[in-house]
Amino acid sequence: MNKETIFAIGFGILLGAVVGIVMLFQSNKAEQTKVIPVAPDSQAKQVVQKSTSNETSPLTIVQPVQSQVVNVDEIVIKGKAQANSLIVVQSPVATQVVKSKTADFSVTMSLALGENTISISAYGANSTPQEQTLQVYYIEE
Amino acid sequence: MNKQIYILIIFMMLLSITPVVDAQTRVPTPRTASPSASVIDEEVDKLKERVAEKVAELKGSTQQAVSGMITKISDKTLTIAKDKKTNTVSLDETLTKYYSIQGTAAREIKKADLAANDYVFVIGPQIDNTVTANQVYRDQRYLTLTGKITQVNADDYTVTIVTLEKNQYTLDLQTRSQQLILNIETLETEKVGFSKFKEGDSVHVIVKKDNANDAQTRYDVEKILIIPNEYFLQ
Repeated sequence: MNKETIFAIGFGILLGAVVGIVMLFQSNKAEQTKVIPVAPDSQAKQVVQKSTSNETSPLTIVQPVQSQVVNVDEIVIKGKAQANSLIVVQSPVATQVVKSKTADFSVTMSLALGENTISISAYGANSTPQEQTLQVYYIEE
Repeated sequence: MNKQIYILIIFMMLLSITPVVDAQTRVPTPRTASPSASVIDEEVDKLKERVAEKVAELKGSTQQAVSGMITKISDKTLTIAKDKKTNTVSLDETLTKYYSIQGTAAREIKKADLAANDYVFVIGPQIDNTVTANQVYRDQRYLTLTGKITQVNADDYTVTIVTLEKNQYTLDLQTRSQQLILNIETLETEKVGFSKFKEGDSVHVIVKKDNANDAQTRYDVEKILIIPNEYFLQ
């Protein structure tokens, strides 16, 4: 073989290898995992507020359900709020204020005959409370 | 370069391209054979169990009422509205009972005693926005207001509050009004005089709603509880 033939063979192999590599990368492109760059811890703390589950827990009422009809003149209100919240429960016939050490709270309220509009407020770290209002209906049977 | 060399280059390029073959996933073919009788029996038993569970769940489910102000009365229906939501109450001449809540007793009344703007709550099965009434109770509607005192007026014993929803209300303190304040040391509630009311304190108020006046912003106070601002500064 002369010099030109050897050069052509070498050039052909090289070009084929390049084309092969390009095709390989193209076929794997869809399977590639995106890597999201993460800022160093020191920077992340400046923009992401570190939070605990207690700090973000909204006021939720576990029982009773909204518009529930009962046949007793007392009801236990159970719910969840931020730990160490001041819970204020108020209705036309009763007012209860409790400090909940844990996220769960339970308050017993007297009921009047008929509709009872009960406001449940939870004060966390500041003077703006979270609030829910329930209607409970007490009917004698 | 001659023609032979060009052919050789193209041949080498074709050889170098390795076709990428993706591994194929074996797709299971569904079995077309019909299920045996025992399998069908098993499925029927499961279905029966589910139905029984659902029936038990419905029996034990809590009864709920629907309330609102009467906006329309006809022979067989009432239309009631509350918080921009309207419900139709279906009435039965013999089955539906009517009561009026008066203090600690519920006195039976007639349908003719009901009038537009009365506040009622209805007990009975509900489908969508229609309630089939077993009982209709006429009652007093109360509102709860939570906010902060923005103004105290000792001349006419009124306080102005702004609620969490940013609504402003003027509240008239009456001699019958129950006035309580939170003792921030003991966390017990105590009776309090008007002189202790101050701007910035948080308040929880109960008032009676006048059904005929939807845009009402002035109320007589039934109950007021004050949370002193000092509680939040501890």
